[in-house]
Amino acid sequence: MDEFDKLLYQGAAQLPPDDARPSPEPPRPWKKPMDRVCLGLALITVTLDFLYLNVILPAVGTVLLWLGLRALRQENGGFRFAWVCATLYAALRFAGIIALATPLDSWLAEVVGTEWQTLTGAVPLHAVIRAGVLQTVLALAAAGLWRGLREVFRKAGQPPGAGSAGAVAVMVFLLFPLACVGLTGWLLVGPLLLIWVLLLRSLFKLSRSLDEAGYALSPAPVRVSDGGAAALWLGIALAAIIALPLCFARLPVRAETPVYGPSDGQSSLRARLTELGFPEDLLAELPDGDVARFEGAYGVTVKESVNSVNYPDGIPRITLIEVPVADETYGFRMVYLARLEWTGMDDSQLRFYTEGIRVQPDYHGAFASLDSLEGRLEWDEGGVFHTAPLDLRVIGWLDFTADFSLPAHPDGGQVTGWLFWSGVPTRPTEPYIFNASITCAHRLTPWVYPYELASDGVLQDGPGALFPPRNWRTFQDVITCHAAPEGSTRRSDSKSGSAPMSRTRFLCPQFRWPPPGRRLWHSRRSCRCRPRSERRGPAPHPPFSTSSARRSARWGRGPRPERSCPPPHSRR
Amino acid sequence: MDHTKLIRAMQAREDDALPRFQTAFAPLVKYIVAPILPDGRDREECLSDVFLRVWESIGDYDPAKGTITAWLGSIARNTALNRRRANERRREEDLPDDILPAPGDGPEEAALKAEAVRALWAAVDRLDRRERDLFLRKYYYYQSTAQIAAELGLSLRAVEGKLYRVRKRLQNELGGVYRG
Repeated sequence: MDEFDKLLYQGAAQLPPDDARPSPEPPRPWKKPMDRVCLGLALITVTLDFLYLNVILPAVGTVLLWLGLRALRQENGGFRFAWVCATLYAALRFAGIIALATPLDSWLAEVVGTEWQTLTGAVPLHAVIRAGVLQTVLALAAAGLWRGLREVFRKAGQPPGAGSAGAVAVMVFLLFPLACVGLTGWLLVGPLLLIWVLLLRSLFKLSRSLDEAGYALSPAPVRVSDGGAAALWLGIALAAIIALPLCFARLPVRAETPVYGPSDGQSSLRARLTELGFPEDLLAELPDGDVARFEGAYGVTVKESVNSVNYPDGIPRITLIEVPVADETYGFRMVYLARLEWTGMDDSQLRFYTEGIRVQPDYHGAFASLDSLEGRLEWDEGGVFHTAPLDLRVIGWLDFTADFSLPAHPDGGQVTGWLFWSGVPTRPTEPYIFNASITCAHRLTPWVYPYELASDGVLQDGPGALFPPRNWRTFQDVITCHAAPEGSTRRSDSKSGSAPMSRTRFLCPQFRWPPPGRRLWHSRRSCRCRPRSERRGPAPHPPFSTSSARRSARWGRGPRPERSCPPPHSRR
Repeated sequence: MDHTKLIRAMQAREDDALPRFQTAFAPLVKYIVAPILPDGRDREECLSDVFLRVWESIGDYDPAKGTITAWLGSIARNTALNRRRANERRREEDLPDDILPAPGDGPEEAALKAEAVRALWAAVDRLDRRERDLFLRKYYYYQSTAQIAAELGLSLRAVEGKLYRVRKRLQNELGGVYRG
């Protein structure tokens, strides 16, 4: 103590003699920790799903709870237990927040597989378990707080007044079963609102209850200031959220170097497909195993969309080949091949991005089931041919999706993707006209938080599909397809009202473009048509259904020129 | 918590009022006395003295002038300081109570000291809220740096740094009044 210190002590020993100021209010040692605990608990239980507040508020609340209990940890066993629980809770909560920047959730959903059914829909089981663990740890922390406060009242020689802390623990615990049931409407809002109001009331009473006994509290010394500790928690989380996407932005590419045998094993089938109009260049790219899918083919339709945007935007050029094949069991089947071609992709585009594709093969119930789903990527790297299988996931009724990353260093930035599927017709004796679609998505930035695969977000149906996605570029072709038994006339239908088409044509299907609610970068298309005269056998009048018959009457008005295609539709 | 009924009971000299008052406010009195009187026995005696003074002067308490905790805190602090000074005088140690108007101070010296006190509090009033809180904890309530650090959730070094800045600022403000 130096001379000036002594003078300050002496000067502060009394208030000025003629000063009418009131005596200073004594410090309240419990106020800061308890305020933090109460505010932390309040913020943790708030969920506001906009502007990332569903992440920010609980994160701040978790830190406040931890800081509050850190100051009280040496007071008694109850507080110590609460602090341990708060530390565990903070670790789990921040691990969860950081994990949102990685594909861990998708991976867990795949590994666990099971879903928990709530009244509002299915929730991944691992998410329910995680929420249960978090809420249990939080409730235990609140219970420790309650015990610690009881001990404080006992130490102060006052009757226990910590009932509100007990109520907080019970209410925090009650939130979990409510969330698990997934009540909707007022059944959800009512109880939650009531619990929320009761919780806030209890927290307020909790803070006030210490007005007398709180002076018996002795906050524990700390080595790192509260501000530093908070910055550490939040800084680590923020740094991880920024850094981890760079590590996980790409999905692993399971590259293989296949060696195909001589491709003359299906020479007769290849010749037949060529005769039917199968593009020879594509056919030459297919190994025998893939060509064998078209055994029994009696028609080929090629539908090609061109992504005409003049910059490499990660959207592939799509070629769809529709091949009806005779089938002993079902009469006929429709075999589809989609060829996706990415060109001009540079390293910067390939290094940190994921792609997604969703195929909706049938909007109208033409198919009873799908089979032979398969997909792969092909590319050359360093002069060596590589392939990588695509993991196709069936979602909904017949739709299927794949999330993947393109190889990082393909020669010439060129990658080819192949998708195969086969549909079993619902009505094997009748032709059917239906719509199908292929949607491609390309992520525009590695920093997408929370981490999102295209199939989990931008490629899903729902309200979000109505708005342009911020972090994704998407492209969708809606294609009119035909399923017709061998010998029946195949016709196309155009929802966009194109001119009537001749019954004698093997007509080109329409790309319906753009579909509503999608941001598209597609401006033109080309179709290759094949006249019916080149098809095998006569084309008897099919047993049209009522609606088909109406369309048929419209089509039959007059001849159409050979190999003509309906004009491309302009942007709508 | 509403202490109005309790204070009225004290002012009405009800039988059970003082024990209830002691139960309610003993933690506060102990909290204020503890940093000033390190010795446990001193603290216990001081506690009794405080409640005796409260019992005697509760009639003077005016809620309009401040809260009961501020009033009680002031009594507790002054009682503890008096005991500390008495102890120190007994040990003939030179400690910070010699600015108080000692019996031997002449009128001129007492006036100078009162002026110094006035200047100090005026400077304290000009501190911002956090600095003022820090000053009161340190120099008014005699709290140790460790206690301040724990209660404010700061490290020792952080509190020392802040106190250093407060002292510097006061030193600049007080100028010739205080020469440290």
